[in-house]
Amino acid sequence: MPLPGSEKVSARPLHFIWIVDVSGSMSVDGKIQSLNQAIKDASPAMRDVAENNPFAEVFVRAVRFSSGAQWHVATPTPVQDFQWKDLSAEGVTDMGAALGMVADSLSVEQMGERGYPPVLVLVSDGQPTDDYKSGIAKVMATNWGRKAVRLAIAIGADADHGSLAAFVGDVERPVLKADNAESLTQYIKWVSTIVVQSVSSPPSKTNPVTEPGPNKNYVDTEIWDPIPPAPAPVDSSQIW
Amino acid sequence: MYQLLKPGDVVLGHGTKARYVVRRYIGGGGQGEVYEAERDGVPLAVKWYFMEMATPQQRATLESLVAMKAPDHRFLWPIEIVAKESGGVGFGYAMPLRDKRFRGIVELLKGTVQPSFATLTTAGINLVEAFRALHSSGRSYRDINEGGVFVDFTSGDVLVCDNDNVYIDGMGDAGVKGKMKWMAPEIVVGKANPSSDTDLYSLSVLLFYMFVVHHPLEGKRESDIRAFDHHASVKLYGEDPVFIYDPANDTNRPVKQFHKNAIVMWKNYPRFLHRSFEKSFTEGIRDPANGRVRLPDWRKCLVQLRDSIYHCTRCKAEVFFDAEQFAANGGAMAPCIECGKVSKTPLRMRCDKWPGTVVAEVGKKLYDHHLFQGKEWAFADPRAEFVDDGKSPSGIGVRNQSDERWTVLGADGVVVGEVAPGAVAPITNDCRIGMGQRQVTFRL
Repeated sequence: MPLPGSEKVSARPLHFIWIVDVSGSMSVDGKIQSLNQAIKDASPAMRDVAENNPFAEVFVRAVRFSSGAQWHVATPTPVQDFQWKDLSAEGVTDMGAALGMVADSLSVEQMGERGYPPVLVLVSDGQPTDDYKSGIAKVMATNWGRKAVRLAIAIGADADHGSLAAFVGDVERPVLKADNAESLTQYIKWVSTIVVQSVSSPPSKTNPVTEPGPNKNYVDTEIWDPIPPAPAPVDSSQIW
Repeated sequence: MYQLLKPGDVVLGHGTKARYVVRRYIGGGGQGEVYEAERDGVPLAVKWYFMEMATPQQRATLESLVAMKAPDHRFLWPIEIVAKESGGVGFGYAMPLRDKRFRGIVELLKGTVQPSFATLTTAGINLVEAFRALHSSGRSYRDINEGGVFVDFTSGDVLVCDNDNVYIDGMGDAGVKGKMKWMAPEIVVGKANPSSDTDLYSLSVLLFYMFVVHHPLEGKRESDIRAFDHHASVKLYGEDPVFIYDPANDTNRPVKQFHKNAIVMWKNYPRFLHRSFEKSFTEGIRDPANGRVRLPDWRKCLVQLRDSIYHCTRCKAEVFFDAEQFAANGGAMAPCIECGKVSKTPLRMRCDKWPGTVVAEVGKKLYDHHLFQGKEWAFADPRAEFVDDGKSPSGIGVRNQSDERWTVLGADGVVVGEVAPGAVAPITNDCRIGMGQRQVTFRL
């Protein structure tokens, strides 16, 4: 009887939540279609990352917001089973409502007590039309919200960087600017793979403290960001 | 996938100008993507770096790896640097395709393979030998983790991949390398760069994962952590690392609810393996330069572990004989770890100048390293095999598979018989046989 008594190595949950703007402007110039396609295209790679990491169990959910906010995928779904249903776009941009719903879902009762920091990815192309600041405050009032890796992707020239940056809340993690479909695809892929991998398998810094000067990629302070830098945006003639 | 390269793309070998035609995407990691490609009809692999990873430092490292060649056959090594035929920036490298018989250590951790202990110990020995070859050539791996180690779970052969971070020992470029749970604490806290000394720590973690399917530092201190973020990792693996079975510190013992493997699997193994792990994660943490288990000692420990394997006569489970426990019990067997019943005492063999006890079971073999001074630790050419022998009081005989005659010695050391090549010697209690350069004794 080989390896008697052994079971799978102990793993912690990693919750990943898409928070997606489906306001009317997202239906212009194919933006919502690009987003749907990007998330679907990134899913196999996200599954691969999870498959190759025995120490994490990745669960995915999604919130959509326009006039009000709703769960698009309400139940934390194991990434192997996660299937993206296309979103359509219509309405305004109630980002605050979405963040309030996310905050409610970050309770210990729903998330459990032990896990990796959740990854929250906010994607928007315009100005919030409700009180987004109190939405952010609600997220930050939860333990899991404070510990979360919060990222934002700004789609197109009219996206409101102020609200997105406020959600991220970290000057070392700039809002990702997706001015075209290729950049959006790249950033969606990056958050689904590299970020998930870094959060669940933290890399080690090898600069000895005696070495002078900052590493070119990282700020050389005691607290540094284990998430690697995002790729540069992709040039394209088709700008949003 | 990013699909940095597309099927049909051609990359050229630097210098050789060999043409590699990309066929299909295989997989991606944090540094780049790997593709199956073809060169002159031969399938190979090409790794292509993400732009932000295609640095001059990485290129220089690759050039040195290509020039130095692989330390031995257990490394999947870069063949040459490649660039796009169509031009443009960026680079990658060509390497052999990994044979499908090799599966990732990840699968052991996920419980999708369950190798025998014999195979697992053989794999452990192969890994130690691979790293001996690497360190002897003046290089260190620097980034041992679950993604780079592959095992043939039938034979115990191993293949070490992801060699793009291998570098000359002690000369590292600055930057992020390695995953925290694998890296030596002095690296996690930023006090040292990766080196062959830190490889020793990572190898100990790998061996612990292989045998216990659990991390050596994840006990109560881990289960007390709620959000397992970067700060928590640095504290657990770097600032305040405590072995879960530290004899002098019980603050980090495994917690039954979360750390079942650590509790169940640890009990399988003899004391001498426990001691090697204890040293690695106590003295080995306090004294990185001198406190770690060195590779020859790991090899000795793992060969001894392999020799200790036997099958419980009651439930047939593959278990380990702990000679120390046996002696401490006054020569009595402890209950089987699997069935709880007491197995018949197995036939034991000792030889002069050889550490530990070899459990002699039908089918087990002896090799050059048991019988000769300074011989290679390989399992290809057995010199002796234990076989069924009805004439023998133990029921087991030993067949001479070498080219030389063995001598059988009486109680006073006088030669009383010989065993010709191919012949089987019956084994009686306390009998002594001269095999190779050793004198071997048996106890029932």
